[in-house]
Amino acid sequence: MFKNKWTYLGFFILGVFLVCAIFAPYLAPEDPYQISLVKQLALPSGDEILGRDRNGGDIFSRLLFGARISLVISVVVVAVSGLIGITLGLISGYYGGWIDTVLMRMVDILLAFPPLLLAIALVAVLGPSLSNIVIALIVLGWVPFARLVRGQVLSLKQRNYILAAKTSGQADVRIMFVHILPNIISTVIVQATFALASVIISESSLSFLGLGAPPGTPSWGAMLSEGKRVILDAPHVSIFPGLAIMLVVIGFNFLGDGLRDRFDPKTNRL
Amino acid sequence: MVSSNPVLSISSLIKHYPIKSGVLKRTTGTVNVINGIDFTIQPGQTVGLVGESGCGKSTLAKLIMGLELPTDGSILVNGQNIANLSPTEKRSYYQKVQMIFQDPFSSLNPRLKVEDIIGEMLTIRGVSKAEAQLQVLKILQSVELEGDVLKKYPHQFSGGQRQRIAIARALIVNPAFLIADEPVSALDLSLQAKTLQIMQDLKSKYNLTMLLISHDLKTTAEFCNEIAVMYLGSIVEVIQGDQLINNCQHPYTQALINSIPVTHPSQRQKNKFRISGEIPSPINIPSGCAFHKRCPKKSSICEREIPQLSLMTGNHSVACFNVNSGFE
Amino acid sequence: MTPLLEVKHLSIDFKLNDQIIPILKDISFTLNKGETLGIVGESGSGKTVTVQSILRLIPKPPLYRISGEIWFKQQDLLQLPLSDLRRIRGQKIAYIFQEPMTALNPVLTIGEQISEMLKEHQKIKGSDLKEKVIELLYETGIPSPELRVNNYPHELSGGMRQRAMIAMALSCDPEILLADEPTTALDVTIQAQILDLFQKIARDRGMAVIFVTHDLSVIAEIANQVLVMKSGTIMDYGDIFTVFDHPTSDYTKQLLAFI
Repeated sequence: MFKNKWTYLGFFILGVFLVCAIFAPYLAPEDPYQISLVKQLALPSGDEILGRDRNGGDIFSRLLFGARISLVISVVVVAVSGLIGITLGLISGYYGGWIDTVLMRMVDILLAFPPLLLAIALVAVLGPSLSNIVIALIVLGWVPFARLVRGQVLSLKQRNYILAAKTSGQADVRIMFVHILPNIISTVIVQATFALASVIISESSLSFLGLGAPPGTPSWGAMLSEGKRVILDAPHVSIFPGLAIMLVVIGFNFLGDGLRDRFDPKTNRL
Repeated sequence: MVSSNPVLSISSLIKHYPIKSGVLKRTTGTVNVINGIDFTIQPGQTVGLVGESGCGKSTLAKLIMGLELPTDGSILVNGQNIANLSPTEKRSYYQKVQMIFQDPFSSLNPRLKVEDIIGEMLTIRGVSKAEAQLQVLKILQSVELEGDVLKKYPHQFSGGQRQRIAIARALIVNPAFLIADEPVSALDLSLQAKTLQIMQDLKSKYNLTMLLISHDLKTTAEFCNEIAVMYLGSIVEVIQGDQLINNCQHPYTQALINSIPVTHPSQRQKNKFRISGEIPSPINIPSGCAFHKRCPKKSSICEREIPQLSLMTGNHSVACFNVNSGFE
Repeated sequence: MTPLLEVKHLSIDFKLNDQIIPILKDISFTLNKGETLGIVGESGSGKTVTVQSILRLIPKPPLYRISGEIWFKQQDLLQLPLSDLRRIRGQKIAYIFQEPMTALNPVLTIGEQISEMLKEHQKIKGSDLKEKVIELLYETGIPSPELRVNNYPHELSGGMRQRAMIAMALSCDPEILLADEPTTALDVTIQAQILDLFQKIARDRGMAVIFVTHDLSVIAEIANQVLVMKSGTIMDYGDIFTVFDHPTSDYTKQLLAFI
C-alpha cells in the first residue's frame, strides 16, 4: 500500500506508542505519581528498568502515562489549529480582497510576538493547566497553516484547471475542497509533522515553567526539563523522555512522508 | 447575412488593469489590454481571433467566460448580459458556454481521475454518478479516446490525449457556444491537424458556435468562417477565412501574413517586407492608431485619430485610414 | 571540400528510473562551412540531444552511454579532454538556447554578460570592450544599443532577449552556431525578424549554422540542408530541395503535408 518502506516503520513506532498510551495503566509497573524519597535518581536496574527521577518516580511508568499527555496534546493542537488555519488560508487565498487583508494583518500581529512569550501570557491569563496550554498553542498554531495554505492557493489559483472548475458552474466551496485542497495537501502534511514536534517541545517548555501540568504530572516535556538540572549526574532522567519525543517525531515524519506520497497520483504506483 | 440573434454580442468593451505602486498603493498607470471592441458572432459560425502577444485575445476569452469583469462596455451572450450573474445563473450560463484552455498539461486536475474530471460537470447538476459515467463513456468515444480511460489520471496521458479529455469535458454539458483558446498550440504538428479535425467533426455534430483563438494564421484561416485580427486591444480587421491570406487589407494583417515562413524553399523572397520594431507595451499604447509607429502606410492622421472598423464589402471590415492606397 | 563538422554513427542511451533507453540510434551527418543545416522533428525525436552532444552538454545522469565520433578540425570532440573542449565551447562552436530568459543571468546586465565572454575568450579590455559589445548588439539589430547595454534581461522583450543571446553567441566569432529552437517561443512577426537575422549573420560571417526546430516551414525559410529525425533515427537527410521534392520516408511526407 505504501511505496516507501519507512512508512511502515513510522506506523509501527506510532502504533507502539499508541498502545503504550492506551494501555498505560496495565503496562506500568508503578503508579506514575508515586514518590520514593529513598530511591531518588536510581539508575536503570531490575526494579526500575529505565531508572528513577529526582522524586524517585519510576521513569518507565511515567513515560507510559506521559505518552497519553504528549500524544493527545500534540494531536489535538495540530488537528484543531490545522483545521482552523487551512480553512482560513483557503478562504483568504481564494477570495482575496478585504478578507485576505484582514486575515493577513491578524497573522502579522500574531507573528510579531515571540511565540513562547505569547503562550505564556495567554496561559497566565487563563490559568495554568494542560487544557489551557492546548488553547494557547491552538491560538498560535493556526498561523503557519494559514500562511502556508494561502500562499499555495495564490499560486494555484491561476492554473487552468482551477479556471476550468470556475467555469464548470460548481460552487466555490466545492472548488476549494475538491480542486485546490487535494493539490496542496502534501505541503500541509509536511507542515503538520513539524507542528507535532514543535507542540511537544512547546508543551514541555510551558510545563517546565509551571504553566502547564501541575508539578509531578508525567508529561514527557516536563520530565525532560526536570532532568536538566541533574543531567551530568543522572543523564537517564532526561535521555529517556528525550528519546521518546524523538521517536514519536520520527514516527510522525515517516508517516507524513508516506501519506503525502500515497495521495499523489504521480508517485503512488498502485 | 446578419441575423438578429447573435450568439455573442460585444459592445465598446474595455478592460484596463490598474498598476498600483508605492506604500499607499496608488494607481500609477494602467495596462490597457482591451481598448474598445465591438464584435458579434452569429449562430453556427466558427470565428477565429488572431493576434500576437499582448493583443488581448486571451483576456477577451476570460471576459466572455466571466473569469474577469469588464472595465466598461457590455458582453451579451444569447441576449443575456453576463455581468453580475448570481451563482444559479452562472451554473446555467456555464452549461451554455464552455471553454477549452491552451495548455493541456495544466488544464486537468492532476488529482482527479478522468471519470471525475469529466463526470463532475454532470454530477454537480444533479445527474447520478452511474448515469454520468455512461455519458462520459459516450463523449470519450466521440473524441476518439477509447479503452480503459475512466480510472486513469491525467499524467498517464499524452498532450494530445489530454487535450481531447479537455474537449470532452467542455462538450459533455452540450453547450451552444465553445471558446477554444489556442487549443492545439502546445501539441506536435501532426497532432494539431488531428485534434482540429476532431473539433471540426464535433462542431457539426453538436451544432456548435465556436470562437477559436490562435496565433497560427494559416490553420485558423482554414478552420474558420470569419477571422478577426487583434492588435494591442483593438480589432483591426474582420475578414472571411478564405479571403485572409490573399485579400487582407490592414497593414498589420498583411505584415502578419508576410511573416509566415514559406512552405517550400522555392518560395523564398529576397527582400520580403518585414515589419520592424517590437509590439509596444499595453501600458504605453501609441496615440491615434496603435499600429502607426510600425506602419508602412502611415500618414499624419494616423498619429492623431483612432481608426474605427468600417465595412468595406459585405463581410470585410478594416480599421485603417489608408486602406485604399495600393500596397506593393 | 572537407566538412567543417562531421558526426559519425552517434548513438546515445539514457538511464531513466533504472531503465536504459536508447535516445539516438546511429546518427550521421556533415556540416560544411557557410551552410545552414536544419534539424527538424517532433518532441522526443532526439533533435536537441543531437546538438547538445556536439558540445557534450548532456549530464551524466541521464546520459548513460555515448558512442560514435564527432569530428571538428581533425579532432574528435567526444574524445577531447574537457580543458580542450572548453576552449571550443563558446569560441569555435556557440550554442543558443530556446528560452533566453533562463539562459541569461537575471542579475547581470546584458552588457556585463557579453563583456564577460569577451574578456574570457578574446582578452579584450577597457573601452575596446564597451565598443565591441555595442557593435555586437548593433549587429543583431537591437535598437539604441548604447542604452541597451545597461538593461537587465527582464527589461527586454522576448525578441530582444533572443537578439542579446545571439550577440553573446557571436562575441567570440564562432565558426559554428548551434541554435536550439530559438524562435519557438516568439511571435510570428518577431520570428520572421530573427530568421532574417540568422541568415544575415551566417552570410556576413561565413558561419555554419545548425538550426533545430519542430517547424518545417522555418526550415523551408532558411536551411540549405535538412535532417529529419524521429525517435532518435534519421528519416531523411539531404539538400533542402531534394528532401522537400522527393522525400524518401513516409514520415517526412506526412510532415510536409501538414505545413
